[in-house]
Amino acid sequence: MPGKLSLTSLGEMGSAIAGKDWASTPIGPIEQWPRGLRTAISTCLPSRIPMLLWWGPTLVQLYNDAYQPFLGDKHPASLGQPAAECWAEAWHELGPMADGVLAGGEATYSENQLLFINRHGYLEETYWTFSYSPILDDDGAVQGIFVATSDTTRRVLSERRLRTVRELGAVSTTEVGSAAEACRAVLDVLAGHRTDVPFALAHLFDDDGDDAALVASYGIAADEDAASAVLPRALVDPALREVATTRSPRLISGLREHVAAGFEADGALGSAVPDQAMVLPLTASGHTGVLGVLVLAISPYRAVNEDYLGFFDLVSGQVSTALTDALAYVAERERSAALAELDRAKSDFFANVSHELRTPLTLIAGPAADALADTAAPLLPAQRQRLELIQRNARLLRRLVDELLDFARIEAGGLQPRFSVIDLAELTREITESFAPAVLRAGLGLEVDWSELSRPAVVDVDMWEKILLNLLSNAVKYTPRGGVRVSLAQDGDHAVLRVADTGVGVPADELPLLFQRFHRVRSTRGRSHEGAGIGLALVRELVALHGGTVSATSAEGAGATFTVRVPLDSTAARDAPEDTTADARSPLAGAYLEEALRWSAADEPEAPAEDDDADPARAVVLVVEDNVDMRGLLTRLLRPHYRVLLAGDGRAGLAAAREHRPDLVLSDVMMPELDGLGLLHALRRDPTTAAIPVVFLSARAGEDAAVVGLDAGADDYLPKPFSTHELIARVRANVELSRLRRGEAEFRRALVDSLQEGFFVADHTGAIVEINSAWASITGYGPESLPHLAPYPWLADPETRPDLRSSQDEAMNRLAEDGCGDFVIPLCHRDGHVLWVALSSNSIEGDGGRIFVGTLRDVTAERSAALRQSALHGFAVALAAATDVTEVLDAGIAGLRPVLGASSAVAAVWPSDADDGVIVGAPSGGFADLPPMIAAALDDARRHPVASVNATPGPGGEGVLGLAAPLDGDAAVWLGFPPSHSVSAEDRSLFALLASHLAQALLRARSYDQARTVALTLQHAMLGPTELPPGFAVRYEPAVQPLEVGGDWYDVVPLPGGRIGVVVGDCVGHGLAAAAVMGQLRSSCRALMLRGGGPAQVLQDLDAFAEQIPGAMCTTVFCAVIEPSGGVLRYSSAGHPPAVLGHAGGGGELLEGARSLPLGVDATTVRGEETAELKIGSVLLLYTDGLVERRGVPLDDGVDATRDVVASGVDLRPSQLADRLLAELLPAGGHDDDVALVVYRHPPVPLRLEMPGVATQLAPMRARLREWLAGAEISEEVSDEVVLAVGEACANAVEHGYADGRVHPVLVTASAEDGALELAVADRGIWKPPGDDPGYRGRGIEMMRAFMDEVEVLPGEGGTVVRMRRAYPA
Amino acid sequence: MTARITSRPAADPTGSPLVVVVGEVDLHNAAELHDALATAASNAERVVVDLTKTEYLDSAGIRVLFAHAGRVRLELVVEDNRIVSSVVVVSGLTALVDVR
Repeated sequence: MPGKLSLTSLGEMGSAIAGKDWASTPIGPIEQWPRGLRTAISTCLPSRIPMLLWWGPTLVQLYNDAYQPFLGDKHPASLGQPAAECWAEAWHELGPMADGVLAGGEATYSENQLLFINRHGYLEETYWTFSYSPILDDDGAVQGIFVATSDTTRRVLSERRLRTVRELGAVSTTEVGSAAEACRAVLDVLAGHRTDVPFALAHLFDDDGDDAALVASYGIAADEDAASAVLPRALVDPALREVATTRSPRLISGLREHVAAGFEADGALGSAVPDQAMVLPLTASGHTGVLGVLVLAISPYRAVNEDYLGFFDLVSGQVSTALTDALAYVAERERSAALAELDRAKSDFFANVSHELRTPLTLIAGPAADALADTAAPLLPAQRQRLELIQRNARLLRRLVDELLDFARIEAGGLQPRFSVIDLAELTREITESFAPAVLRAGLGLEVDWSELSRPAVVDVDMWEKILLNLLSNAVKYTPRGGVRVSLAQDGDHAVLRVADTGVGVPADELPLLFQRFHRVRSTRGRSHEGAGIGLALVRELVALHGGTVSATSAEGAGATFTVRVPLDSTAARDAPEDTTADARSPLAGAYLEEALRWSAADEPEAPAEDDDADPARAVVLVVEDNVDMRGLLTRLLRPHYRVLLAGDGRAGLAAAREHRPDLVLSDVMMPELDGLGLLHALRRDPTTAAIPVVFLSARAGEDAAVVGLDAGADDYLPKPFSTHELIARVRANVELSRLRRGEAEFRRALVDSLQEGFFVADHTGAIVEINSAWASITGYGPESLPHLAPYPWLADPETRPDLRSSQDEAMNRLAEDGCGDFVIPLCHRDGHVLWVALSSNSIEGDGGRIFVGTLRDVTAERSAALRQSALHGFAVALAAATDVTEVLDAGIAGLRPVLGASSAVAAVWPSDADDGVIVGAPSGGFADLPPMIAAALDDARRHPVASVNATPGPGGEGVLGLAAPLDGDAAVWLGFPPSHSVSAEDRSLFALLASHLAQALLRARSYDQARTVALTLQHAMLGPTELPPGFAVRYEPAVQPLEVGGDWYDVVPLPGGRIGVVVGDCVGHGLAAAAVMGQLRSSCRALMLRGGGPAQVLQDLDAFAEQIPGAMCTTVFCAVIEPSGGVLRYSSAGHPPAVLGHAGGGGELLEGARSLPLGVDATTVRGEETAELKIGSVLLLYTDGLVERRGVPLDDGVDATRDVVASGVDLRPSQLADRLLAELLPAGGHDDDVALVVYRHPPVPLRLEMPGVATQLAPMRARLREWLAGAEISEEVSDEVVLAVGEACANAVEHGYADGRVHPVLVTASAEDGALELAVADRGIWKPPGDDPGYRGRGIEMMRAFMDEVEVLPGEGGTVVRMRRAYPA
Repeated sequence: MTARITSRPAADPTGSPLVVVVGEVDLHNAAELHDALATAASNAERVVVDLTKTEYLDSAGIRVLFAHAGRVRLELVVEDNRIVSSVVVVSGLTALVDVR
């Protein structure tokens, strides 16, 4: 550390320290600061961790930028200030620690230390984590204290407040009985956290919301008076009102002087009196207003900041939750209390009402009975009917009322049995018998079993009768078939009565509820749905009055058994006074019987008979009602206006609705079998009845019942009782609506029927429920067979026409899946023929599921037109690809067969002078092998004009076996069909059309064939010499087939002096254009060579030509001149790949010299020339790049491969080598460039062979000669003859040439030149001419003459020379 | 040895001796052919000579065949379009022997 301290660069505090006059402080001027202080400062200032330095005995303060915010208002005075002055308010805590460190003690560490610091104008509750470390000088003396510190106030407070909020959360789960209790519970929690909320008040508004009553408080005077005394209403009330209005918290200030007297400090922090409070609205979910306010005091040791406000927010939320719970609890409690009260009220009401009803009922029944009984003024039949109805129902009502009354009296303890001693078996039998007619009328069996009881029983006769009749009527009501069994037996001191039935039974879960008042078993299968649900409850009560019990056992669908056990002599009976009027029997049985008989009347269905005066114009109303009387009433009311059909339950109603399609259904809701809602659903599900309006009638009055009915889709709802006017008005409105709907439907029907396209509607199952007449005429299936269910009759048989069926199925599946779509599918008409239709369908979501609607159009004709177009197109495409006559005919019959569904097809071109004719499609052979029928049909057809069609009828004139059409005067086509195949007129005309297309294609192919013949002739003329000098082989492989000319060429030009010019060239491009260029260049080149120029000169001159020939630019040429005699090759290359020179004995070299630019690129190019040595048997290959160029393979690789093939094939004849080159180098899959190549084998130098003149040397001589001949590219045939001739000459020389008996050499020479072999055999002997005996001696020369063109025997002085000459073809 | 000449009695399907000549017959080895034919003809009236595998047959060989043709019935089997067939035809041997 240098002596100079640079402070100004060390932040704001650095500048402040540098700028301060330190001379007046205990640590003196800055220049004199000890090194230790300077080191400490330079450590402290740059740090971003808050740091404080206390220096010297007075602990003068220095600190960095990060520390400065901790000081609040103390800065900047705190800089250079002694610590004890700066932190005076906390020094009683800090001083001792600092002193300890100064005195050489350990470093201190304090965590979350509470310090009251006045740094913002008030004494603030703050928390700190800090350590004091001594700063030592070199001698170990303490120079100062290093304070590392952090302000943890925020963290400490937020943790503490979170705890408070959590505790409040627990309040919400506690059951509190009222809003006030909830407030008290909340304040109880807050009272434990007075550091944050020193005091609190909770006010709840009264019901009017005017006055806020204090319900809880702490930290301030305990009761309301005191609270209001210390907290003036003037101060608080406006805040309360404001909070109540705005529903948002509000801060109030200036409380200190008012609350000072009442504030009860808890001393946790200090005794400072709060000056501010937060007023929070008390709200609860489900309550719109503000319930009250919470006044929470703010700690005097903390300023209100975001954190504090957030805390109040959370408190407010928790309090609301607690209040909500409390109010919900209160509401629930009040609700159950109200229900209990309601139940009581209902019982009272029933008792009162029942009682009140008896009087008017009596007054209704009485006069009615009087009127009916009046013989003086007898009623007219219609009036009698009405009054009987009144009487019957008055009696029924009376019984219901009595039962209710009994009930009420039992509950009130008002009904006491009047016991009699009686033969219970006899009583039971009598009652049962009196009810028997109702059982029998219901078609049920009645079985009884009476055991004698050992002694008379004590019962209330009326009650017993009610018990039994209730059980019996119940049994009949819920037993559709089977029987009822009643038994009475004794079981010890008890009589046991059992009533068992075979009815619908009671579901297990309903059994326990069976005897409850007003409970009705959920069942729709009773005979009647009438009843109040009090019968069995009454039975229980009555049995109980006898000290007995009643129970039921049942299984759903398996009947029920009710068992009543009563003591024969009950305690109750003993205590009760005996009734002396035991014989006074009530008319009770009559009422029960009458009611039960009426149910059975409902069983006899009143056929929904047509009225006699049935007027079809009148609207039809179907009444579905299980109550006979109600049915009768409705009939009487409606009949004057409508035709009325009747049904006794929902099931019958549904059947009638489906059959008669009424204009309106008027239905009861509660009915056996199928109730009104079930009927409604069934009607709506069925598209044929879905539109019929349904009006419900129900005794269950009230808004809820109406909503249920209307929700279910009923059109109207009429509660019982209803007035006649109301009924008629509702029915009329709905019938009119229905007629309107029906009118719309008829209009729609007419509209749909007028559509040209077939129209259908199908339901979600795919069943077709509606169609129009166009549909019927397209498919042949009319409306009489509706609905059409899948699988539809127009679907194809999957066995015989799987192709049609699969396309139909695919369309149906796609339609079902997508809900819409357009398809063209085949349909089988009712009469069996297949037609094609365009089906367009969409779907909508209906009541009963997805409904499909769609249209259908017959597109058979369009489709065949389209098919024909497509067939024509396909046919044209197939024909276009064919190039010669055979291919055209092949493509033609391949195209015709599938389009016309033919099983076989034959096309033929008759033979002519020029060719043998063509047959395609026949199994084998020529015209002679054709089945006579086909041959005759074809022959007949070709004599007709093109586009005519001749049919060969099947046996007996049934079906068509074949169709034939001419293609030209000498060609025709025949299609064979399977037996009984029918050919439509469309098929015929399509065949005629296609056949004429085929005829045209045939014509084209023929002219093409001619053109090609011309082209081939031409190109052979252009290609190159057909006669080559000996030793040459050439090959040409054009890239473009069938054209056999291209841009590549070769030429072999015999030149004066035995020289031979060899050229290979490659014009740009392929095909005819390139061939034209090639032809001109080839001719020019040939002319230039004949003129005598060397290769370089030729190429240079060719440049000039190339400029004149369009398209000749960039042609590459390899030009060479061979001098066979000297064995020299001169060559020059115009941008052409190198020629290959292979040498006998192996090895190949590339002729890469003298290479210059391609032709026509630069007229100033000077072409060079190179020479190469042709050794004996050397092979020269010139080629074009088609041989070596492959995509993706470097050219050099191809050239090297070529060289290797040449090197390994030097021993081959040139033609063999040429073939091998093509076989090995051209790719098997065809080549994309022309290939031209020239192979030249340098002929051996003339043969000169000396053999000893002995017979054993003849065979080796022949072998040598053969080898030489092969090297000279002499054919095997010629070679054999030459060898034979030379062999004979040699044999002659051996045999006859020597007179002296010595062996003399024989010299054989051979040379090949200009297509002829010159051979000579010379010996030293004397040639002996053939003598007279041709036997064998002269045969040798005959052989020679036979096989050679010229044979000369030249006898000479020193011996004989035989000269022979033989020409050979190249 | 430029030829392998085998003679087998009654080897021909007709029951005659068969002489098969494989290779080249010239002045040097014509005597072998002579010997083989002589052996074959010693107790037969008819000898079959198979020349289909004969590569070369010069006038010395022809002479041998002529010589035997006078003594026995010779039947030559040759392959068309081969030099041997040409030689047989050119020599006039066909007038004396059966060729097939």
